[in-house]
Amino acid sequence: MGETLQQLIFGFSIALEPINLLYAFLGCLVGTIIGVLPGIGPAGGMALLIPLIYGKSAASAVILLAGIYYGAMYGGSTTSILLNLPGEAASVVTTLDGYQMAKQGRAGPALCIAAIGSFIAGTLSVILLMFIGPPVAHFALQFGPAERFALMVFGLSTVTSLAGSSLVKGAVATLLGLMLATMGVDLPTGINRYTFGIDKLMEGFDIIVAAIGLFAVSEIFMSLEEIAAGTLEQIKVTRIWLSMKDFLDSLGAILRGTGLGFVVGAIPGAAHVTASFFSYTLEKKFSKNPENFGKGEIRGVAGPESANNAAASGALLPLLTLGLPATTVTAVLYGALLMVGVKPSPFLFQKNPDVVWGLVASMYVGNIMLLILNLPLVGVFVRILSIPARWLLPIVLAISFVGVYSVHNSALDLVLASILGFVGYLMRKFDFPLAPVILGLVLGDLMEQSVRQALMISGGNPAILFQSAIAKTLFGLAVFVVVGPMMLKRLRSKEL
Amino acid sequence: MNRGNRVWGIIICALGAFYLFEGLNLPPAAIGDPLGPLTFPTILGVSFMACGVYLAIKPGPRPTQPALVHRYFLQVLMLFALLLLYSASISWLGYLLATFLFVLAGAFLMGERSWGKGVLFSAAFSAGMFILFVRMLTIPLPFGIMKMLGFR
Repeated sequence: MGETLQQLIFGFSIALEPINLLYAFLGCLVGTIIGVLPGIGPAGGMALLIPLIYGKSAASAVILLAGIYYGAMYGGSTTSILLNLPGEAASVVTTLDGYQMAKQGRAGPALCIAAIGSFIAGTLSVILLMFIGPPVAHFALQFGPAERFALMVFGLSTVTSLAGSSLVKGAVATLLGLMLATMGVDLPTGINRYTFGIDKLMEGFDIIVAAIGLFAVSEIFMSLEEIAAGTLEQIKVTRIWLSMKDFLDSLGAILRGTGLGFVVGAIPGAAHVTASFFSYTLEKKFSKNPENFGKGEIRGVAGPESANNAAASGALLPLLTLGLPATTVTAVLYGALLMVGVKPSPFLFQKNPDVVWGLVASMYVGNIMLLILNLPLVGVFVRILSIPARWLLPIVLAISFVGVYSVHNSALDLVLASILGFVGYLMRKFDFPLAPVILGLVLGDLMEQSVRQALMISGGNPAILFQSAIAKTLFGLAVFVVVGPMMLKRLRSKEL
Repeated sequence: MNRGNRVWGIIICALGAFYLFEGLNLPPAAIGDPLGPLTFPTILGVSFMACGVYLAIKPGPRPTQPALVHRYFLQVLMLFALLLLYSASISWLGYLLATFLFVLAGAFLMGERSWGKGVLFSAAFSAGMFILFVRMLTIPLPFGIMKMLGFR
């Protein structure tokens, strides 16, 4: 304890050096911009800026890149709330209630709670990282292929059971996402699946393309319909800042989201998307008024946004404690560390305390910077909504398309996003939930690879899937969330 | 009873069948990879079709959204066509020109009535986007025929 504090003070002495403060600020600023613009994403943004770290000290390099990472996670929520335009997969969850809040004129509070929730989650998860980091990392590493598969099954079943009015329609949406995920080269065998002879499809269906198409583009179709029918109302901004009541309402969601996000973020492969989806379903399950979710419930923004940011710290755990990059972003960070002459390993804490503790301290600093940077911007961002719809909607489409195009530099992705936008519009009209499609697409590939890896290990014996306690628990929970509500309903109707 | 959901059930069934049919040419399981590339998609396709059958037989409650109205739907289709046109033309018209035309047409579709304002707005917007993305952030957006006009 005392030793940790001492080292933290040492870390601050590094992070508060003027040059490192400047790097942290630069990283946060660039990260926020990258986060606001759709399509580039944290990993892409960090990779773009890697040339900047040449010749810097290891601590400075890590501080700069971590700033970009954090900033991008922050910025991603802005367009999701204002325009229903998720810049990365994890922000999809934020659109569900954030955009509804914006439509009711409460974009300001939504943006505030996203920033404050991220701040609290970021700060607390750094503390978690310092004190319970190693045990959590060891827990996370018990997730082999079988446990990962169980986690995916659990995640998909919660989202299927919670989204929308009908279980079948939720299942259709989830399966559609999983089916889209099977497009592209099959990694274990190297053969093409569902590419229809089009080379560009070999890379698979990109999540950003799907998220922007299904959410942002379909939303424009819906708005256009309202314009044609004359029912579209100009959004009136009722308040810009967060009320104390809203904050207190969300505090529980923020804390739960932080804990959940931190643990899920540390599990290899699961990452932010799963963390924010889990947090959303958790909040909805334990809410007194679950029917408010999807209609502008502030907890539906606070929880997932916090989980998202806590997962960013959680994802650093396996890298810092064991030298293993568990996500794309930490893999970029791993590469950057190698470039500046630091070899990530289980001995990172002993060999390079300046890097580790400098990074930890810079996370505190970065979180404060991001809050200072983002809160004043809320007022500016909210004003975007007062642009007349006939101009705003084409603008949103044009910006979305830059994001989609920049994924693979391919016009084919634009066609795919347009088609998915139209599909999303039809799905909305007929009450099919959209969020499970994205989760299915994100998890599908990993889910299939996990189960195949597990069976490769066991030589085809499916018993391996149910061997560990973690897997058994997760499968049990998965069955429970689907069957539980149905049984409850039946029990209740018998009583009546 | 709800006809829309029945129709969707049938469409979903057909899509599932198409998906399964497309998977038929994939090789089955091999040594060392017990499941092979086909098992997972087959499970998905069959479940998808099962959901479709269920919806067709038991359509469930009516959607909460207002039903499709012919006149409004036509507008939606026009925007869809416009998006496809934009996607298809961006490579040869170049980002700047294609975006200018798209935003102009889009604004008119969404209720802009003044040519002057529309042209001014979409020109300013597409130029701003071009400067921000291509010049400042150096994102490689297509130039197309703009190259011939001397843009680099």
